[in-house]
Amino acid sequence: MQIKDYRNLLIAVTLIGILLFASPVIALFIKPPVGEQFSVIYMLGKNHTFDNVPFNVQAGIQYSLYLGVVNQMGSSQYYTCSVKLGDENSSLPDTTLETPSSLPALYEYKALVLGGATWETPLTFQITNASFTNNVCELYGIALNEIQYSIDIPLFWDSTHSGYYYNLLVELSTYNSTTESIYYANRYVLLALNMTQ
Amino acid sequence: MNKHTIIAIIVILFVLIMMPIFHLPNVKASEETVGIQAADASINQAFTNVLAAEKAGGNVTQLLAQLNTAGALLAEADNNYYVGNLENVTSSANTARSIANQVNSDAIGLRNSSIIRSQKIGLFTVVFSVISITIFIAVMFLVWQRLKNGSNRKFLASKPVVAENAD
Repeated sequence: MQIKDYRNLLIAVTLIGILLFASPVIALFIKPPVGEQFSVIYMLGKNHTFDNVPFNVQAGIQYSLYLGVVNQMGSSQYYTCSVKLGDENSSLPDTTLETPSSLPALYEYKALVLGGATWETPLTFQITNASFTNNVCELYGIALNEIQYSIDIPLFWDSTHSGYYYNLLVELSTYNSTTESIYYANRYVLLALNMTQ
Repeated sequence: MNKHTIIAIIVILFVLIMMPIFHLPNVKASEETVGIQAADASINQAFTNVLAAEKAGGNVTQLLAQLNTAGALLAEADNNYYVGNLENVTSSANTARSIANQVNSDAIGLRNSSIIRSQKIGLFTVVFSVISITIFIAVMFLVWQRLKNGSNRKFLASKPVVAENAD
């Protein structure tokens, strides 16, 4: 090996060494790319599974669910979950326009979730007052987590699908600390309910 | 005083006595609204500072758990207010606000201490890197000097050889 070769080798080793020793400082200024950021809202049955998720419901019976939110936004988030009830013809959230349903929010949850964490809470509902007359089902009352709500949602018999179909909807909103406002996160979970006598 | 004047006075007195009773539900309702709005603003403010503390590198797990309790109380107050069950709305909202205020001041403290801590770590990292690089370059220079001297000595010690037909 010639002295010239040694010189080149030493220059290469020195440059690599400088980069290695400077890497902690470089890491202070260069942030690694953040992965995909998203939030998830889900609903499970009373056994924390998709089994036992109610579909055929009757007035006077309490049904139990679990509502959960997964925060993959890379930082802590302040979520609001709005529970809404409508019939099968009611407006649903628009995923293209990213707008929530125009139905009024009955019940609200507020959850502060760490980045990467999951928040889960029970949700019980019971149709407290309903009537069935002349192919029309009318809901007058619902209890959400034991809070009674007066409603009036009449619905004609759906002859195509043979049932009275209602939607229990939970929409997810997030608080934006920069704009100091809550915005709809374009995430919702829908539970179709067939009201039976 | 004639009979009409006495009746008029009685009517006016009755109205004056009844007026606060008629107004009471509105006053009560606005009290609840003010409580809920104040709690909402406090939680928003506290969350903003918790987020700032988190960005500064602080561990906000405990603070967020406390703020979650405040959020649950605010939601409870909100839900009860919505259905007109005003009994515990103010107390729930006030508890939520006081928890949020406490979290807010703790979050500000955590954010400040985290900023100072991260500045110290940053400074230590820079100093460590500069010293390490300087020492490494010096060592490499010494290695180079040694190699060069060795090579020179070897060159000077070598005997000249005449090669024939060397191109």
